[in-house]
Amino acid sequence: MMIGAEGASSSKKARISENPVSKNRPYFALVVDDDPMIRRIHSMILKSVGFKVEVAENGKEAVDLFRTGAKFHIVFIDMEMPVMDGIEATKAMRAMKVESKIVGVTSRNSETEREVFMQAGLDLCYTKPLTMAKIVPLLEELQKN
Amino acid sequence: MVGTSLQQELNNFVRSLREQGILDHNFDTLSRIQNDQSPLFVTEVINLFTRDAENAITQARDSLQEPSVDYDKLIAAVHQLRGASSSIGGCRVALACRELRSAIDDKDKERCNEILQRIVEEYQTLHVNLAHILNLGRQILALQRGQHQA
Repeated sequence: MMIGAEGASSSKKARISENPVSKNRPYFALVVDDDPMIRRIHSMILKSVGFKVEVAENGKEAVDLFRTGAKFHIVFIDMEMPVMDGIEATKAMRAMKVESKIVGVTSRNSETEREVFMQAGLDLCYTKPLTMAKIVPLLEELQKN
Repeated sequence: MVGTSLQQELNNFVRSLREQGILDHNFDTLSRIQNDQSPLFVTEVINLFTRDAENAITQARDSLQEPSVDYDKLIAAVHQLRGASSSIGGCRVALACRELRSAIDDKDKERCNEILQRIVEEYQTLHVNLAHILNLGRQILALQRGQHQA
């Protein structure tokens, strides 16, 4: 059973959505971005469709969450971040056998740069911003599985 | 009622910005997901965007003023600004950032400076209009709070 990051510090506890997609099956998402504005927007969009959301400010925080036993159905991760970027974090998560769907979200639109990000172990790579049109199919896929 | 007309004024204003191409549908998304639990969400996002944008523009300007342009730093600034502006619906700023990235790839300092100036102008236009949106939003919220207390 997938659970949220109950081992995380109190300052990073997920806010419980009042409108879960399914009362029996909440879906947990991790938003990883060094930009507080992006974290805020992506969290709100995800919560609006029923996800329970945790945030991390960089790749290392995201990897540490998984190391403490946190599990997420889906991770939305930026490419460029200080401390540990999205590419290194994705590689690290896959090396830890993290099975969550990992979706890259980047402002970079160079095919080469995105390909490098994909090669790190992403399932998908989207250009910012994250939108309902991008999230809803992902949610439907989770529900199907 | 005053509240209704203020809300209508805000809606009409945002619509006109959409028609002028200053904002796109991503701003509408932000407005739609604002809720009772986060009534100041759009305000927070606009304030965060302003901070992000001004930092990124300063960083870009500093990079271009160096004797030997630090293109890596410039790229980082441009991408931050592009991501932030597209997330808030500031499509003209985002588009100009894309053009700047192209000029950076060509290592064309003169063109970079021209496009950065255009980014600054587009940002200032966006900033003024977002400030007006914030002002209307504040008035609406104050009215709603006054009505709740009455």
